[in-house]
Amino acid sequence: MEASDSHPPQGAMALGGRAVRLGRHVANHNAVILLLPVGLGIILIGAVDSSLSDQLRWLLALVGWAAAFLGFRAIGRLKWGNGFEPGLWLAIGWVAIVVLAAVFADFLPLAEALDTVKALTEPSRKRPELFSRHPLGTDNQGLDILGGVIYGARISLQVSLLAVTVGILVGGIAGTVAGYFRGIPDIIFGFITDSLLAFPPLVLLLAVVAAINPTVWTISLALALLGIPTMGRLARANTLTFAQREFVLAARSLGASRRRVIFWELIPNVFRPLLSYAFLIVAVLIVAEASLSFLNVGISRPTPTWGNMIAAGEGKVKEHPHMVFIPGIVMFVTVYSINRIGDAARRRWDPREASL
Amino acid sequence: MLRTIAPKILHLVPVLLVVSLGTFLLLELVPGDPAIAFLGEEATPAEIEIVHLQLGLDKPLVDRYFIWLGDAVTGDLGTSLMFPQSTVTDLVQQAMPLTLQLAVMALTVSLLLAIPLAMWTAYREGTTVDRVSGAGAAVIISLPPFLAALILIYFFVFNPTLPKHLLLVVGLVGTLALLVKSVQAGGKELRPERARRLVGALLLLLFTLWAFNKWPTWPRIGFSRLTSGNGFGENLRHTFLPVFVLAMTEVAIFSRLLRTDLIATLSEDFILSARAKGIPTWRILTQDALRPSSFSLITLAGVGLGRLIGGTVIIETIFGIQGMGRMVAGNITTNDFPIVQGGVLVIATVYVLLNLFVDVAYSYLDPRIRRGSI
Amino acid sequence: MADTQTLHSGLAGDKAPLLEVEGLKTYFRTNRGILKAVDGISFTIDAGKTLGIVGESGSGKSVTVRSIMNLLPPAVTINAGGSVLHKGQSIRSLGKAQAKHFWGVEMAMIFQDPMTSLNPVMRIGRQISAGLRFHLGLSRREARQRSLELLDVVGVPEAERRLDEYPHQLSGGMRQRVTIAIALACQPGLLIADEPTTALDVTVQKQILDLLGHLQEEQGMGMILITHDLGVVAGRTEEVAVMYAGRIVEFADTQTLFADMRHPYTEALFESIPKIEHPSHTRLRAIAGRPPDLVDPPGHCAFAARCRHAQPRCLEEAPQLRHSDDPGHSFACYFPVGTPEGEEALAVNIARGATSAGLLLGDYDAKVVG
Repeated sequence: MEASDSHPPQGAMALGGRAVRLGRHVANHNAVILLLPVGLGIILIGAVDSSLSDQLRWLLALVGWAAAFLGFRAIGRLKWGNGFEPGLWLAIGWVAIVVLAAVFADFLPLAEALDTVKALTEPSRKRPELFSRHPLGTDNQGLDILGGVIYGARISLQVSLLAVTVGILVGGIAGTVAGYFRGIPDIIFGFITDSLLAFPPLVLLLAVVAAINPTVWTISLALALLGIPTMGRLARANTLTFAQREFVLAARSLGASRRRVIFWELIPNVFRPLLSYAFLIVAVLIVAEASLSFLNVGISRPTPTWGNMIAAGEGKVKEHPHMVFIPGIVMFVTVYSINRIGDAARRRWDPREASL
Repeated sequence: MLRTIAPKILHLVPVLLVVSLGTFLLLELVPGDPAIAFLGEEATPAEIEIVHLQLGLDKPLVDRYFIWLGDAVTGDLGTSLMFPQSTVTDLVQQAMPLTLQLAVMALTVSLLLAIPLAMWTAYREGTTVDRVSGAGAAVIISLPPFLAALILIYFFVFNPTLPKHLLLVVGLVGTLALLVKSVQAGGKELRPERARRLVGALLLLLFTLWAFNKWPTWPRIGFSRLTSGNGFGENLRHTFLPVFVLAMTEVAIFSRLLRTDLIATLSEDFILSARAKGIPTWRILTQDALRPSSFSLITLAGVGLGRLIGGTVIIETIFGIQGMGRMVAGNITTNDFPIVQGGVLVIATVYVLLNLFVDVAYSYLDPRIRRGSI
Repeated sequence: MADTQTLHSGLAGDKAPLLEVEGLKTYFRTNRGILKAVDGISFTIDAGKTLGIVGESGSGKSVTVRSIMNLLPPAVTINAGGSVLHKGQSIRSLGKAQAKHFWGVEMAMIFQDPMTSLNPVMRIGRQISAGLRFHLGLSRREARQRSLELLDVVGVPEAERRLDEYPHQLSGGMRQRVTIAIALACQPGLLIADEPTTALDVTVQKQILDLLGHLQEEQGMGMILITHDLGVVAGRTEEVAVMYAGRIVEFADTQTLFADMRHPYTEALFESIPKIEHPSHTRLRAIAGRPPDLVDPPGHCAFAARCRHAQPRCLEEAPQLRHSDDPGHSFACYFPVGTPEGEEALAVNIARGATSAGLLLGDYDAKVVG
């Protein structure tokens, strides 16, 4: 775009360019595959060897992960071509692990993570030590953090999936009906969604949670309130577009009743873009639920959630940062992975939307 | 143009009514008796009676609503259950300036950072800079605000050596880069450009050294009001970390959305015309490209401000700042309903008015709408 | 350059020509490979002369001039060769300081659609004076004054009012006049008009073209007029270059081109113009087939697949530009129109019913020829 840039780059820029080209050449060369086992090895050393200083271990972890990632990408590109996205597959892998762990939590060999009485005999605020009884350490009350993280994942997933389902179903159907029939249903719909959206989201959540008794079900419904207006509007917009298209008219001309038209023609087409947003909404809701439990207005201890685990560790973040950062990192990686998957899903199923 | 604005303003009234109704009806959502929820199980009938009177629960629902609404409109939002000598209006008046300051500062900072970043990444679309900033934005957006705040606290408050030295390194590297580039801009005709880069390098060096030397200790909690005797410096010291966290997410969101808009604008033909005129790139970015994108910028800023006002809850709680968010959140656990209702009503009203303002501003600023041709 | 000839206007004297393009090659990086949009173009323009470049979409005419004006996106553009000399000086290697006041001052360009080439949210006056203030350093008042003069020159009535208006408030023809005013602001020596009338009503087209011709005469500018419409260049240009698939396939004085065209593509373009003399319901003659894929160009004549004259030789190697008796008239064809080889080739193909490239020729073609 440079209108005045009519000579080749000089000096440092050219050197940098050459370095990048060299790096790219190395990266494209197949030997890079070796970086995967090398990287994993480095990570292992850093994780296990407690005789090294903390800084050194973090550095090893960083270098190891970078190497492993590059190696993984090289293998993937070799096998599936240049379109291979290592980040996406890592994200899918992580989410799969989290879901499996959450589902089978009861069968995993975890130390006590739920009952404070049983945990009385455990050391409290223990630092993480990978091959010990408490691989990720313990919290204020001796409850195992690894177990807490897994059970917390269960809660996060339960709540957000429930809320998203309700949001898509209720919002989607309401939006479709409003968009198809127009008139009075549309006016009522617009009114309700405008009012719900008139509240800043977190404040709305807080207000609702203020009144109710926080359990998994009630929190899910409260979170669904966040999703319903957005999903509803999306469904309505899509319905308006689709209802004008020929295949709906064709169905009607064949004598299909209105209900039949809605169910068989419109809804499948309207819901597909909604589903592509589902991932992103799940990510948002996980954060919302965690915020609530962080503020101690959501699900509270001893039932562990990511939010309340972080809250419990807040006071001691200086001396015992692991209590905050372990659940924090797990939560971040999970949310990031879901966002990544959601982006890819959206690009595939709703190509009109630009991704962030 | 009045024709476009008037319906929007009219639409405001029923929405505000529903907002007030919703807020009011919160009390009805409480399972059981709100008085008992507040007082606890061992409350005596006499105490329950007092709370009932305070909450007006002796009157029928409809009456209660209109009394409450009438009071609210005249500025009386009720009295705290816990501390009957404090009216909710007083509490709001104390808390609102803090929240507003945080929100406005965060918005300003994020706009100042996001606009140049968006311009740069839009112009250099597809380069490493762009992809790194995109990945960074994705990371920041996935980071829950309370976690981000705790990470920052861990480093800035408890382990200040790392950020301090990081700043030093970044500052020095930047200075060096500017020096190299100023030497590169050889040729006598470009003296002003070289001078600009040298001056920039000098300023950056001075700033880095000053910041490194004068690195303040960041407080873990608390707030120093502008109106207190401690002055602006103290206020800044207390607001730096909260605003940093708030602005971080906003910068990530703004810069990516604005970037998308700018990329679309940059592919338009009139940009090509401007380049054909020989206008330099940065001028095209700021004058020709930013203009059409400024409308989405206003919408973004308005939505962002709303998001900030509603979203300072977490930050205020972590940093112990007695703003509106903390007021509402803190009193949920104590079941002090008048405070919660009053707080929510005020925040929601501000939010609605803000959105209306953005809507109107948009219509006013787009010359195609303003002149009535659309 | 071995494979192209420099095409001179025949009027070159001792002075360096205004613009001299030699062997220009511009390629693009795409997902499918390298796209050879312009593959060896050469021409020369003198001050006060007009060159017409004719070709269909995808022929490379827009890429050529945008490459000259340095308007192509640097990330995907490869300047694969060739030189562009302005008054004897290479503009590919301008120093930064020189480049700053070159584009827009020595050379200016107007585009096809004035609605999109003007900034919709900026006032007209500001768009005109942007260049004046940046290049000539005029103050706001001086720039405004000059803008008024420019609007007068291009024939925009009520100029004072127009300066404060927005593009959407003007009609299409008016907007194009404004873009011309913008282009002329710094009195460029060369004006490039990229399909300036394609987006306008037919009645307005003539006005704009007349205006361009008039201004050119007045200011002594050189002009490049790009169009897909042969009718536009007739009578308004001194020379015409016909482009196809990134190369010039025929180059001649305008009169010579129309009177004595040689390349089958030029003939096909000419025949596709509907003529008012023809009886009603005359079928329009389109050119069969589509332009070739420039990512993987055939090594032979790019027009062979659509050419009525195509012979086996055309499918083996690409013809180079060569001229016959008239040095100012060059064409790249083995079996040109109006030559014995060409007529023989056509007759053979019609008798066969198909060309060597497999293009079917029907009775219609036979009728036209016979």
